[in-house]
Amino acid sequence: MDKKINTAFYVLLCIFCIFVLRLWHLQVIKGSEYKKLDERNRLRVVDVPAPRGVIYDRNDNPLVKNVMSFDVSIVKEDIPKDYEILSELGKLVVLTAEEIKKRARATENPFEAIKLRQDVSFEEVAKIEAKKIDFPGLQVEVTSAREYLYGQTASHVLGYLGNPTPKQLSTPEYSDVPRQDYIGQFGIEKRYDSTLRGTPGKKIVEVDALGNVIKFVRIQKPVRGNDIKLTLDINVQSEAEKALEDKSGAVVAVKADTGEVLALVSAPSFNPNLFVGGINSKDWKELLNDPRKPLMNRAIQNHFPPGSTFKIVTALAALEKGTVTESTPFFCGGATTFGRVFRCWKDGGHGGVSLHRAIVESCDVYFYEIGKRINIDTIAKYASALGLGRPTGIELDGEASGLVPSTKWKLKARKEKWYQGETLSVAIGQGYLSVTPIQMARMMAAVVNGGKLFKPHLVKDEDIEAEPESVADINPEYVELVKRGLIGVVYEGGGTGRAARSGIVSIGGKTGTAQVIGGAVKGKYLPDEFQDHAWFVSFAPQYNAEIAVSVFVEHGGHGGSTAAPIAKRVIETYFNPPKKDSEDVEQENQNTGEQKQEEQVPENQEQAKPNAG
Amino acid sequence: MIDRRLLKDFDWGFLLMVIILALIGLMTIFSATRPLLEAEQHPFYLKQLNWIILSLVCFSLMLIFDYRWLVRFAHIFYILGVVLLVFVLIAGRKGMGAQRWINLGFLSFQPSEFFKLFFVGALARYLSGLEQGIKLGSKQLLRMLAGFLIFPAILILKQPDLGTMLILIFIFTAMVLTVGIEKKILITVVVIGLIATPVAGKFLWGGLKDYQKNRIIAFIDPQVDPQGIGYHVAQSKVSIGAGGFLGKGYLRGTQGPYRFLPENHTDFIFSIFAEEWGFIGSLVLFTSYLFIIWRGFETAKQSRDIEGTYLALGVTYMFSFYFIVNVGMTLGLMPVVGIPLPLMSYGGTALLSNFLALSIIENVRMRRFASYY
Repeated sequence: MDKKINTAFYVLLCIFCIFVLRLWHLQVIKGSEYKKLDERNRLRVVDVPAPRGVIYDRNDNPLVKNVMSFDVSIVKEDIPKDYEILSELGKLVVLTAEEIKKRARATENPFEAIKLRQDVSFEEVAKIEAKKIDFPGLQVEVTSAREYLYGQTASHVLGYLGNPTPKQLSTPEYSDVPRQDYIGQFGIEKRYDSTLRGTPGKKIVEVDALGNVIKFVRIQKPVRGNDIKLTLDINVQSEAEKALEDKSGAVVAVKADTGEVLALVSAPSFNPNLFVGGINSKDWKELLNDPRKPLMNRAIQNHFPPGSTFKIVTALAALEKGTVTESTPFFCGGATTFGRVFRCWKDGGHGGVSLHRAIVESCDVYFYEIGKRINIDTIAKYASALGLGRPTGIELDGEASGLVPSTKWKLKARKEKWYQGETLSVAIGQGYLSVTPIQMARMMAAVVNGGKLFKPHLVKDEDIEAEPESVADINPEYVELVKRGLIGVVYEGGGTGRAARSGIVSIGGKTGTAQVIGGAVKGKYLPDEFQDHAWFVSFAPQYNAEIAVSVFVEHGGHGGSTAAPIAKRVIETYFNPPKKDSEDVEQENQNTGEQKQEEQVPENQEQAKPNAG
Repeated sequence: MIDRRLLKDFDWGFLLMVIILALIGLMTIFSATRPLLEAEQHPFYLKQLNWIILSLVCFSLMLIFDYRWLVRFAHIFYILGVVLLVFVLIAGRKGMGAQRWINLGFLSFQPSEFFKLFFVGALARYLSGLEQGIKLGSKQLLRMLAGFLIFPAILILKQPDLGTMLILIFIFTAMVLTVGIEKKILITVVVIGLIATPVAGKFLWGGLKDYQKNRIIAFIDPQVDPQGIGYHVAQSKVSIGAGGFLGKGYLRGTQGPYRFLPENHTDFIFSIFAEEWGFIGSLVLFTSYLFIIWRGFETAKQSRDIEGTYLALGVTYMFSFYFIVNVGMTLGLMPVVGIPLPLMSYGGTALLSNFLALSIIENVRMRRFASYY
């Protein structure tokens, strides 16, 4: 018996030896290998999003800021299986049990955190923290979110953020962007994304099997994105949006001598704050299906015939070509014939008119007469020289090119030769012509600054002096002639743009109407959707013009009554900014006062706004 | 009662080693379940401490009774045990996919944990009744198989508790081999076994539960599915391996508290110990277990009577088997069978049953020179 017991003990001893050998193998021979596996278990590399650069307006007012946002998520494995408990959790984060389940299905990884809610308020965070014991795996994370300080204002310029699309992630530009990060998907946020974005940092953290962070091991700090200073003046921008009220349309204001965009408005607009933390599908659908298309940037995407505003171009072309001179008279009897009858907007006619009165009263017949005598390619040459019919190159996506017709164009596009009769339509800004509001603002600027065609731009580069793209070869004498006409439009009796009269600064401009339905149906009531689109293209002040503004109001009817007052408000805000508590503002106001004395005194003093200074 | 003689022959070293191992277990449970994000330590270690104290009291109380009394009533305990096994199948509490517990209201326990002791007792009683020095014949063997093993083994497998069933089979085989069986029977059994294994294996494989099959598959290739069936073993090896030669140090282990290693304070407590104490610590731990086993065999050899020998032997085999299967599993040398590491794993019933078993060894040992009365 004792012998057998000894045998049993020896057998056990052998097994012990095997165990010790195995231990030696695991812990000593392969120890470092298992240490790596152990670390791979625990250590995770987590992206640290870089704070995005701030966007300022030209006066250093921040337009956006980065704010703390509390996000609620739960580890997939910890989602309650019981329906009632799940509903209870749903109530806490304002989701139904089904929605939570749906979100959880997006991932296979049982340890991944499922985002339940973003940008939770402080009070709610406290509520959720208190309930954390009931729902293990529920976490509140602090992330950075974008806040657009002026809400809807300048939304088409600023844009919005969104998760990168799979397609974007595959391009080298976005290769270092974490999938859950937000990048610019519209507007300046998109165009200057690489500037604003910064470089995300990384941190190495220790996590447990459920992915809970236990401690930080190492952190590589993110590099903050660069700030951007826009040329936009937020006061001018806001005033333009206010002036448009609830109409659809666009306003573009540029600095005449640089092309800096002071305001770029498209109405209706949207609230970019809706996109913060990912827009929900209901809001997104509403934006997409809104018949008024709030996501469309009308300032650069709408292209319509410029109507009578184009008479500025026709007049310059005719003067340059010698078709007319300052004193060339034509008689307007309300219509003229050229193959068919071409009607003036004024039934009774303007009588005998010179070029100046033709501009002031917007006499169509005068320009038809020019149209009879001028080559379409001459008009096209000057229209192109003033930047019409092609994208301006502003730093926004989706700009429309519009169209300036020519004989060459018609042969190519329509396979037809040009008829002189069509030139008559083009001469008054109708026909094949189509332009965008930003092109019109740029054209106006080029006319009043001596032909210098600047690229309209939104981002201010302090170091580089603005260089014109090209200089239109126009005789300054003719420019003066046209400018006088444009001042007359606003300040002379019978002028179509009298609604733009300002007591602060002398404004010149041209009204225009883009026909919605062919032929003039006058004096009859028309429903809104058949009302013509209204244009007003303007500049100020008369001498050494600083600002050029184009206003476009969809279905606004006459440019003189709807668009001109908007331009006036925009221009007045530029010259007379709302009062601030700083000294340099006062100085600005004094400057405006001096200018006022130099400038032409407006006729209607009672319309002048009291000087805020 | 206990006279002076018994106290003089008391093996203090043995008891001390048992207590030390239980306390090492307690420390490791504390480390494995220490909180990381929560502020409070889960009270696993306190519960275990209570069970250690209770087990020590029971250990001591059991010593009062001469082990021969245990042998005398072993068959009654055995029948009681079988009744409990039947009862647990009918009215037991289910938990974790098995029906192993009987709920007494104030506490619940697993009758199969205690049945092992009754089984050893009954086996000792039967074997000591036989004529000594004679090898077991085929008739004897069949009678023992039918009388002791088959019925309870089936009952326990039905729960299902594969680990305990394997323990019963192992104790039975080891005891029979120690007594000795006729050579031709041994040869016959081996030959039949070799032929029958493929056939019976198929039948047995079909009779296994899915998780039991998975464990065997996982044993053959633990890397098949790191998050699934082989995950336990793979993570156990990572824990042990990451310990290295000297270990990470006490309360420095991560696999347990970070919950990468499941069952870290119960079946895989050794992996946590090895992670923190390394090769050196593990070697010391192994030696401590070997010491207890060695003392068990010594006690069997020195017993004043054959009943004591068989009792001590049965308990020592049981203890050794627990140790080998558990550590073999954590080292990835054996399939995952839900067997705790004796004395160290968290779990009250198992701890108590192990203390009671070891108390039998002490009982036999302290009475090795005692006279009959």
